[in-house]
Order: sequence, then C-alpha cells, then structure tokens
Amino acid sequence: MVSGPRFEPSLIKNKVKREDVYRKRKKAKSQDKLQRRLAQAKLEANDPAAKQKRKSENVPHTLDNMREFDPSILTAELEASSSAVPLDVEGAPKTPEDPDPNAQPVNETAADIASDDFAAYFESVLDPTVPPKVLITTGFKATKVTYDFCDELSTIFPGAEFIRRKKGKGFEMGKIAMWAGARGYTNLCVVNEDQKKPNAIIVVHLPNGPTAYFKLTSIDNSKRIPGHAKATTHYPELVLNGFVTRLGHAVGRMFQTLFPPMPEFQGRQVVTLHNQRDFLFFRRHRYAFRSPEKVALQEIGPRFTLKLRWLTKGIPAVQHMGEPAKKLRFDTDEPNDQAPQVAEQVEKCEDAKGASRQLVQPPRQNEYLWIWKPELETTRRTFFL
Amino acid sequence: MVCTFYAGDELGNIKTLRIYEKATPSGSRIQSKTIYDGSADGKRKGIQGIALGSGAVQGRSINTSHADGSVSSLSLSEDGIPNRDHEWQEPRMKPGQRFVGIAAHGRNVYTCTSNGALRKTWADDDNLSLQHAIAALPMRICDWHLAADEKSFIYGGEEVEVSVWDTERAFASELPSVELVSQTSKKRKRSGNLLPGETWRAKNVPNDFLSLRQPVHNTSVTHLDTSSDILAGTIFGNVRRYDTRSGGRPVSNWKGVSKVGGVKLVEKGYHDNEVFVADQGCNLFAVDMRNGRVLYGYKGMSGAVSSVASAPSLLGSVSLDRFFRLHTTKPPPEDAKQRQEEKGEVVDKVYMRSIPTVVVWDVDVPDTDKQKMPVEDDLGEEYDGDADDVWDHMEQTAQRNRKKKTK
Repeated sequence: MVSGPRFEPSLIKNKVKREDVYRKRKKAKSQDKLQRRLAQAKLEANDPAAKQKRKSENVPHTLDNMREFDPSILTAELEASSSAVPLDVEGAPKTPEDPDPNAQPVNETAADIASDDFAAYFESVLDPTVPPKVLITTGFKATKVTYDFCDELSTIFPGAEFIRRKKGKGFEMGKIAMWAGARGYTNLCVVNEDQKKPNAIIVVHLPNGPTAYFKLTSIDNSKRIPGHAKATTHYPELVLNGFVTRLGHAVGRMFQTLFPPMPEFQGRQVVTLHNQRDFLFFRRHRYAFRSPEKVALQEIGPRFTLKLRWLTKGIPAVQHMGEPAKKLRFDTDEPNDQAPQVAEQVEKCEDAKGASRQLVQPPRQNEYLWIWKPELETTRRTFFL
Repeated sequence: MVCTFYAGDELGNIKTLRIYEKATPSGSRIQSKTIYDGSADGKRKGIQGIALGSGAVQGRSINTSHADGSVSSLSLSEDGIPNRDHEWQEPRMKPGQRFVGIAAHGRNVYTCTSNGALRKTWADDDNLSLQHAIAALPMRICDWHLAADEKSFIYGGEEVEVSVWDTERAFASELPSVELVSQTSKKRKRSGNLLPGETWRAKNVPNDFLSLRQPVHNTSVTHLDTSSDILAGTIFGNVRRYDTRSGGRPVSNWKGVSKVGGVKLVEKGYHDNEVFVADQGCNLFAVDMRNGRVLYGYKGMSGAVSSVASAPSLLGSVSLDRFFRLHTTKPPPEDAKQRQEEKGEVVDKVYMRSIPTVVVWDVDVPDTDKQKMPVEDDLGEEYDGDADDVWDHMEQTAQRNRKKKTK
C-alpha cells in the first residue's frame, strides 16, 4: 500500500484500489478512536476526578454559550464600569463629581421588575389555592385542529376555560380582553390559525397587559407521543429555563401567571418552558421516584415550540374607524355620561360578588415594547430572551 | 464632552446622559448617571415630561411632571446634585389622564394635561411661594407645545384639531362654560367658532372619495422654524404641515409616513428642513420637510420610540425597550430632488434598566467643556447663557458650515 506523510487516497486513479484504501483508512481511524475512548473510560472508572476535570475543561462551543453580550442580561451588573468609574480619556472630564451623595441606586432593575404588570401575582396577595382564570379562544375562523389544540391547552392551565370565539364585529381581541379583565380573568390566550393549522398564540395578561405574540410550531398532541401518560387535574410544578434578559424575564413571568402559585406536589406533574436560542420549548412530564437515586420521567404532552415575535404594552388595540365625530368639549367637574375617550381610561364595574373591578378600555394603537425584526439579529449569536 | 441629555423614566428616576467624543473606558460614548432616584413609589410617580429651565438662583432647573398629577422643580447645583425647590399638584388631572406637555420659559413653568388643564406656575421674587394661573383647554388633548417666544402655544388631540392659542389671552379669559361649547353645532359666524384666547384652528382635510368625513386624531404637534409653521402627526400615519397664515387646511399632507401603526411623535431636527418621525412600531425616520420624503431610517431599534431630542449633529432617543440610543444625523440634500447620500445611524446605546419615557437635550454646556463644543471660535465668545441666543447661534453656524462644504 502506498503510504506517506501527505498521502491522499483521492490521488489514486484506480477506482477499486482507491475505495479499498479509503475504506481501510476509515476503519483504522474509527478503531483508533474507539480504543482511545475505551482506555479513557477505563481510566476514569478508577478515577472519577479525572472525568470531572475533563468535563469541566472540555466544554463545546455552542451558539448559546457564545452569545453576544446584551446589557439587559440581568446577571450582568456592569454598575461599576458603566457609571462610577472616574474617566481619564481625552474629552472626558476627570470627574471629581462622583462623591458619595451621588451613589447610584443599585436595585433599579429590581424596582423595575417589582413594579411591572405581573407584580400582583408575585406579591402573594392572591389565594394560592385558587388557580388563575385563563380564557382560551381562537381566531375568528378556526377549524378542528385548532379546537383540538385548544382543548389540550385548557388541560394544561388549571384555571383554563375554552370559549369559542364569537363571530362578527364587536368581538375584537381588545374588547374580549376588556370584558375578561372585568370578569376576573388574569390571562387571555388566543390561538390563531393559518392554512388550517395553528400558527400563533397571543397571550394577553389582564387587566392591563402586556400582550405577547408567539409563533407556534412543532405541535405534537399527547396522542402522538408514544407511551404518554395521562394528565391529572393537580396543579403542576413549573420549570422556566434559560430566561436571562429583562425581556426574557417578562416572558417567563407572564407564563408563570398562567399557573397557580402553589403546585400540588402529589400530582408529580411538571410543566417545562425551556428557552434555547430564543425558542421556547413546551413540555409536560410526570416524574416518579423509582428508588432514592433514580427518577423516571414520563411525558404527558402536548409538545410545542414558541418563538416571541412581539410584545406590546397594554391589551390589544381596537380602532373605532366609523364612529361619529365627537364634539369639542371641556372637562367639567360633573361626571359625564359619555364613554371615556382617552385610551386606557378606566371605569369601575361591579362584579357579581360586589367587588369592584377596573374596566380597562383597549387603546387605539399598539405600542410595541419589543418587536422582532431580521435586522436585529446581526449575528447568529444574538439572542433576546 | 459633547452634550448632555436628561431622561426621565416610568419609575420617576431622572438620569443624565453625557455624550463624549470618544468612547470612555467602559467602551461606550455615553455615560449614564441617576441624579434623582424616585423609584421608591413604583410607577405611581412616573415621569411624563421634563422641561429644562434656567434655575431660580443659578444653574439648571429641571421641571418634571409625574403620573400622579404632581409637578416638581429641581435645581441642579454646580456638582450636579439636585435639590427640590418646589412641588405642586394639578388637582384637575383625573385618574386615567396624563400630562401631555410641560414647558419652561424664564421663570414660568407651563403644564398641560390630556383633559385640558393648563397651568402656569412661577415663583415669587424671593423664590419661596408659588404663583399659579390656570386656563382650560378642550379635553382629549394628545400633545401640547409652547412656542419658543412663550407668546403662543399649540395643541392637538383626538377629535381636537390643531389649534394655536395666545398665551396671555388664554390665561386672561374666563373658564369657558359647557353651554358655550355646545353651541358649536348651531349656525354661527365663522369667527365665532374660535374659543376665547384661540387665534387659529386647523380645518379638517376634505372628505375622502366616498365623501366620508376623515376622523381627526393628532398624536403629536411641534413648531417648525417659526411659530406660524406647525407640523402634526396623526394616528392614521399622516404628517401634516400647517401654516397659520394660509387658512386652516394643511399646506401639505403626507400620507403613509409611518410604517407600523400611526405616527407617534414628530420632532423638528437640528438641520434645516429636517424632521424626525417615529411610528408606533419601532421605526424612526428622518423626513425632508420640503417634500415629505423619508431621507433615512435608523436600524437596530427594537422598541417603540417614546421621545427624541435633537442636538447639533446628534439625536438622542429613548424607547420602550429600555434603551437610550445615540444617533448621528445628516443634513438633507441642498436640493429636495437630489438623493440623500449620507445616512444617519445609531452610534451607541445604553441600557436604562427601567422604561424611559422622555428625553431632553441640555442646551447649556458647563463652562469647562465649552471649548469642546463643535462651534466656531468667533461665535463661542458671544455666549451669554441665554437659552434662545445659544439656539440661534448654533443654527447659524450649522448653516455656514454646510455652505462651506458644498462650495
């Protein structure tokens, strides 16, 4: 056999010989690799520390762990470098202006999170045994696939209720959100469909928003998952993985408000929303302790994948294009009988129980807190959640 | 240091954003610093407007309007530490309403709410007690803007046409009664349509091809070069230019300027014939005032722009995605028909940690940094600290510079 330091089998002109040499080389290579692996495994079986060391050193580069720095990542507190460093670059003053009275507030992000629209859920003022009411509906024209998916969705959220979307004008999403908010619902899920397949979910937090639009793909119903378990009505545990930025936290907190704050552990059900490269993978499992060391996992389903497309402030907008012109009028102190005109103006409405709730009018325009655009992804390593 | 911006946010914090010519050691041209921490109250005291004025004694005064109806006036000392001078409440602001305008001129601070409560406040000579004057404007105002000379102001809103008022007469006239307004439906004289204090009101655009009335919803108004030249953006995506000397109809009406939703704000640029238009999505465009064409848009914005402030050759913007962005601006071409060669871009951004609501440019620059301002030396001597004069001079130099280049 011809051999040499820079020998390439592709240089052999005879096809039979070329293939033969190539096959032999390939086999030798894989055998060599296998032997190395076996030797390593033998070595590490005796010395677990070596395995640990190799694993900690040998971390593969992935898009996820090489992601571009985003200043809104919540663990990245660049407080010191961004504001309090005395500057000595030309053009910058040598600052004697950072004395102690100018100390920067450190918990600004915490204050921002604590005052967002989901804060009521996390302040534990709600009864933990009562599941949050979630209204599930579809787009205006839905087919059986979407209804089936909605039925599965309503088994996931313990307080879910599926209502068919009413047809016609006056049942815009903003209007439905307004009514649902006044009736004590905390979330509205609208499943949209295109070409007779569910393609998007809009989640509205009630009563004041925000509204998130997710692209919906890779739906697997429970039936299609081999060996799936049956769901019970216990409140599930919730695992939210990989939400690191402020936007990611907003999405994670929004999903958290769909579930009761206190899970029922005897049900052993876990709902997972795993964020990887901005795709949110939804899974539901049941776990079982086979022995003190071993845990078994059985999938319940459904499976689907979400991707955030936009997030707007407030509930969805409703435009009143054809309404008659309002007269110019002044604000007088006496209460007016006319409907409130300003977007998001609030009225009181009496609940059946007598508790007064705020009826939040839908705004005239959606204000985008964040919107996905191709130009935002400057590299493949740019992620937003 | 090139210039300073002040930004207010939903939590009631006030931040300064100092812009440097080169990147600081932190890797950014922007240095952000919280000068007033109002986050203790949560969103209750979120800032809805900032107006910079000359301080009562010396230095800068920052007047802020808050979501709970209060207005506060801070003065900045030499080392940048704010002291609260005054705080007052607008009792006519009801829940669900907001401040749509705040302006400071000399010692006067004007505030206007969306239900039409206009207030002028000024401090006494001894700077101890406050004097107030109030006036009533129509409801459903979306934006209110004071002219540079304080003599007039403009507003526009939902089913409220763009309107010019005489400031003095607005405060002198008695509060209009409801009956007066309800008479507008009856046949009356043309001049009688104007409210007391109002000097000009826009007329709605003609009906469309189905002869249907076009709804009126102005979201943002601003003055152009003179106080008779007004620009308004509507929720339907139109940008309209009005000249109060030529009737009530707009002199130009550009349709479809905004790409997502309607126009959110219009703001006059620093160059001639340049305005900035932001839509409800996340677009910010520079528009040529002569023909309404979009000169360029900025890339990399991911949230709706809530406020912009233009400085010489720079533009600061804050948006709902919690970023302050620094943009460069390029002058429009000499001839409106020529194509725009250079495009402005986002040069830097800084994460603000909470949602900023408003940004303003500080015209005054501290004395130590004055020589670094991009102005010519012969004009640099003429600074006397008066805000208007600084504006005028800067404008002239900018023009002169451009002419030299083109020759």
